[in-house]
Amino acid sequence: MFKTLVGAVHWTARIPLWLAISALFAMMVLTFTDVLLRSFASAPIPGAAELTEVFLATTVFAAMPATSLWGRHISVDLFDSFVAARIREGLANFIFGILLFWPVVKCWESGARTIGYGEVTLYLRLPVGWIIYLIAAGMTLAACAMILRGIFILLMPQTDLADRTEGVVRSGT
Amino acid sequence: MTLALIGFAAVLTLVFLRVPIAIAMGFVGLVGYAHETSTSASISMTARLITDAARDYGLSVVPLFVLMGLFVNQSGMSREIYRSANAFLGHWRGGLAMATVAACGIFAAISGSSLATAATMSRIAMPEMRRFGYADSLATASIAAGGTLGILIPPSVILIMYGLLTQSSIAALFLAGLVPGIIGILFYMAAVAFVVWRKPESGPRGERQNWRERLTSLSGIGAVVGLFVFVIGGLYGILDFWPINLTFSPTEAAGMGAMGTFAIALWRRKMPWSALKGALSETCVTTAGLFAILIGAWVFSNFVSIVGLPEALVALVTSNDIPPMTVMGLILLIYILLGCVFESLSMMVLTVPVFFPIISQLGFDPIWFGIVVVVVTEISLITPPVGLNVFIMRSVVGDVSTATIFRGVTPFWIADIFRLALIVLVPSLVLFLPQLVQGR
Amino acid sequence: QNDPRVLTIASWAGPSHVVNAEMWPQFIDKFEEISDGELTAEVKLNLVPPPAMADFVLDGAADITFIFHGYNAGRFVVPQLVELPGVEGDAEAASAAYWRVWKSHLEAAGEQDEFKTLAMFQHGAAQLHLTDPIDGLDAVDGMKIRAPGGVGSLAVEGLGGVGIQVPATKVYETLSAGAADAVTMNTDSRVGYNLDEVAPVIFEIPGGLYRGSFAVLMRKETWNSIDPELREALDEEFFGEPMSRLFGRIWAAGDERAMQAARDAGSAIISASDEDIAHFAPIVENVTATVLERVNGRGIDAEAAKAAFEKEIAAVMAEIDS
Ligand code: NA
Ligand code: NA
Repeated sequence: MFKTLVGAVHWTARIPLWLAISALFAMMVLTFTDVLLRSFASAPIPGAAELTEVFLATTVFAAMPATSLWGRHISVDLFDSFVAARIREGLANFIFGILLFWPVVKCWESGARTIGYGEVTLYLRLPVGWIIYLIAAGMTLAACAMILRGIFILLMPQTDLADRTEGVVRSGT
Repeated sequence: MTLALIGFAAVLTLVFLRVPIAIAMGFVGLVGYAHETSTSASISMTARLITDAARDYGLSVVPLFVLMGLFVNQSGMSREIYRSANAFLGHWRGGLAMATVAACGIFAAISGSSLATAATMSRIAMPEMRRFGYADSLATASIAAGGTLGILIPPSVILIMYGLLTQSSIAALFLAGLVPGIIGILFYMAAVAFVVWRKPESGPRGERQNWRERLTSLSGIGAVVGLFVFVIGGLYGILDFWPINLTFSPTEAAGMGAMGTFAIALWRRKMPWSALKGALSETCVTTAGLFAILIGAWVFSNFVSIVGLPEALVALVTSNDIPPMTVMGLILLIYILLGCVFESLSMMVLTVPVFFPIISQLGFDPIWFGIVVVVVTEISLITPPVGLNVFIMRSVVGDVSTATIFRGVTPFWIADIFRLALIVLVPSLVLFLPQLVQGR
Repeated sequence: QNDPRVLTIASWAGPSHVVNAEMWPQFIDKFEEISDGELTAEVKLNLVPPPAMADFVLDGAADITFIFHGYNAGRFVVPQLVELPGVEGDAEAASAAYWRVWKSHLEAAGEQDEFKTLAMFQHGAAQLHLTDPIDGLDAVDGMKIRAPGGVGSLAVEGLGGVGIQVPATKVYETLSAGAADAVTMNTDSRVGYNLDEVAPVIFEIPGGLYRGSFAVLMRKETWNSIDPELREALDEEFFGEPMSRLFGRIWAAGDERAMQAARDAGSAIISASDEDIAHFAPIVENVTATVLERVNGRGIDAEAAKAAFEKEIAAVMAEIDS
């Protein structure tokens, strides 16, 4: 039961991460294709830079829940050897995860307003409001992830919150 | 000024309580800005930075270069580079760390950003130096410090920014950055030599290899050289002749490099699905962490700007009739102090508009000052407690503490201070190359 | 006397850009003068990215800002009417005329109803800035040109240019890397983007390829909180046409200076021949038709507004000349 719950929590970070992964890969292929088409056929992809911006925002904010849940936000561990590092980390995540909703709610409002104006991007005329919604959604999940991480660390320290990037490279092999 | 100082103190307190740096800077900025204006204004500012700041085309280089570093590692190219470096330099104490510094300098010629340089090189160099038994402190520090060269050796996002802010010649700035960049490499090598002289076990001697072994090892780095020529060629117009005409901008170089490396890995059949997925997700998670810090830093920098820190700094350096060199010294001191907290871009945008008029009035050369600013910005990247290059190492290596990296970085930081003093006292080191080439 | 009330101006672009180096200081002087020291303002640079500036003021995070309408495409449509190519006149004349047409025709579309509009202004005609000389405008066909979006992009496409769509901040590196052969911008931008280094050739055509449209906006609540008598005085003596014209004039002077700097730097300046103008005329017609349709879509009689704009520009030009 508890295992299923933790598993489900991990998937709320993993599913958006798949979106981030796709956006990152698309960004790489897009730059390459755009440069080749421009150099050899004088036919760059319309709005390539703008698409890159959208892909970048997706890469960053769709990965934000994973970064938050798996504790990959960069923090200073200078004092970890003393004074209850675990409790400090748990509290920091829990408290600031809740506080994060403060600006995040504003992000949603800002998206709604932008949709109301019918604002579009300069070249491709993509709806800006929906891009903002995407960012707001990523931040909402990230805030939830921080709160959950805090709760798990404080109340259920045996929970496995280890990194799920299956980093072949992180360990250096 | 007082409010700004309270802000700095609050950030440091939160950071030491283990609040993520992004959150600490962002929230202190948010609360401070609200105190100075209104809560709704501050929330609006923060939300707009969250939704707008990351949609920046220029920042796309960060994830793409991180990805490139992972691909270089996955394709086996990093092993080949270090096998070769080991064959030539491995019998020296700290030889691989010195090779790493040089490699950072070379990579800086295709990367416009220090973060990207450190991120890429950390993937390439860290596993290899560990394999050869180097101490974590020396290995991480040589990459973190070497990576700062990314914004000094052209191309450089920060030098372009400085050129646009001050309307100085960007071409001259690029030329001016070369010699100080090479001095940087040499001084960092000296720092490595110092470290291994004090603690020989941190950079163990390998076996001396004969010339046949050395030359054989070179055959392995063909792919790396080819990749480098491809990116450099496209960047500097070397590939711009019929029927190729391949050209791309520094921003695009990241995508081209990543794709090129990906292609090599595919060709070598070293990119199974799981490795690709691992590299991509690792890049995404790292990137999200870095962007969180960038956004937090922007919010905080808006706060110190609205409480009038820039104006207070001007008042500080122009208060009395102090001689120009003393003003310069004060400005450098301020930069080094600000460097504790700021990341490179906010530091540049916050301070250059403030100090540049003073500097030009005192008759200092704008190109030279640009290089000085970039060198102090480089220093900020490895100055505790908020040193972005150090955090990149922390984020990449995972099992080394920030404290260890900062301790390892100290000799490199001191080498940087010597380099700064040198180019401040001997401006011709910076200026002779642009003068020679452009006849300025 | 009490301390003056300090309003916040949220501005963007670099500190030495004409907007920040000249327009705001003169605005503040005038503001203090008319309010007899009761009001003043201070400029804060780049607190949020340019496209967020309008909302920033709407949220009460700043009192005053200036916006480039093109950065909020889809939200501000009617300004495209004054961005059309082929209309002669410098930035001062265009800005004064813009204000008049704004009041008589464009304001009714309601796009800026949430704000108190202090000024509507324009930069000078955008010209082509190239890495290498060209013989005539037909050479642009197939050339890679950084396009600014909106009307400017329509003009570039009409000429057969391949639109390189990167943000303005990337113009320098895009040109210097050879990823684009030219850029279209107003002349003053040559200084801000260091174009003398990377685009040493200017191709000038009367009326240019487009003109950028800007507005100075004040938060409604701020405006309503100002003493009614003072509001009247500000409207009477400064806001509206005088301010639009002042900002336009400053920009025109910036164009002039940039042109001189280009000459001093030895940049080549090519003027359009009669053939070039004839070549461009049908393109202008097409662009105009497209834009008029868009503006009509906002319930504005676009044809009448365009005719009024041209008439007013000519009138202001005549005033300046006499
Ligand atoms: Na570089
Ligand atoms: Na620092």
